Amino acid sequence: MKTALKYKLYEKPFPHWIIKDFLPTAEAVDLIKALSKEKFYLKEADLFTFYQTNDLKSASNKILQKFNHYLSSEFIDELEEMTKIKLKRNSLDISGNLYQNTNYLLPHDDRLENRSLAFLYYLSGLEKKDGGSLALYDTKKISGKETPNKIVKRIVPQFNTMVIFQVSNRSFHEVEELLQKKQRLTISGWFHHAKK
Amino acid sequence: MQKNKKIISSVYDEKSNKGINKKIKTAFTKNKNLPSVTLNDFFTEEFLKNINLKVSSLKFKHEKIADKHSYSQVKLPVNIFSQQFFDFIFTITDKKLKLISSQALKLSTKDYTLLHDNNRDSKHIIIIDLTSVWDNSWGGILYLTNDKGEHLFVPPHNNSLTIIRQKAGIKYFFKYVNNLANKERKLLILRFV
Repeated sequence: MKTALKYKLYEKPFPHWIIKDFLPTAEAVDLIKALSKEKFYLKEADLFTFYQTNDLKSASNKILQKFNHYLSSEFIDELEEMTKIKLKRNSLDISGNLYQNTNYLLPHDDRLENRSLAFLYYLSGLEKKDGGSLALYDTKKISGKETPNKIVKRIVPQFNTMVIFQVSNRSFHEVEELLQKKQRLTISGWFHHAKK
Repeated sequence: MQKNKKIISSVYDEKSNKGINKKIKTAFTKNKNLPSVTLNDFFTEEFLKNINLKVSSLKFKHEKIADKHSYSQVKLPVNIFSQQFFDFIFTITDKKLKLISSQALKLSTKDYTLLHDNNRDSKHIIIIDLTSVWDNSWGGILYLTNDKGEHLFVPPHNNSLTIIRQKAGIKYFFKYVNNLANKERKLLILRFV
């Protein structure tokens, strides 16, 4: 499993990196096939409705294991180089996520349990009109607290694209509701801080 | 749950309906973890028509605080309800409550409220549902949760009244209204201490 890692850094509204053609196409397709054999569970709360696998670290499928291993070893080194952020080894949170028509994830900042970098690896492509974009908010300070203001950037899911963003008190984002009878499939999760 | 005429009479004729009020009170306190009760077909048709007219004449303003809520709202005139209505609420809750806020709310596509939007000051919340047509697959359902991870949901029902005792850890939210919705939810929310 190898990547060319041609990334692009965007500073606004908060630091995020986009890596197109993250894997050779055949490997990305294999991942879709592997994920299709996993069970997805409906997740519902005030903040979201979507389907999710169990933690892929415990997946028995060899392709998923290989991808998990790649992210936790070779890629994490490249990621540290890319982001200049020290990351903890062997502490990856990783799951498959599936959004169908009407599924969504409302605005939040992802800050929880020492998370440092969030990643979303897109295994399906959508158009803007389909919904399902990752929407990034700028923030304004209200009573000294960073508060989401308005959506200033939308990242439309593109097949075989990895998006990474730095988790902070400014990293407010949402997954906009999927508006079509299409599927938005991702492998996503978090890398954690090396220290704390 | 009790049907309309009996419940309506319980509001206006408390003395002769002590038994019904007692049943409602029992239902309200039965679930100690999520103390609440929903009374369907609560108001008379005439009163409902009147209240709908009054609410329709109010000027709603859309408000979005992305990490808390998105809805249209307007402050509700307190005189929309009679003292008898409040007496009925006091009977069920067994408390002389003080109204601290009253609002009319509209939820349409893309609207929602989140758990941490809850007003921590209020001890009791009354939610009156004025949603005439709704399909549960559109979202917008009222959920109650507690800190034990338990929850219950109240499906939209026109002319229903829900009383919630907001003891520690109890919160509520309205689920995101999705793109399938082609109507709006209309609610009145009264908060008491």
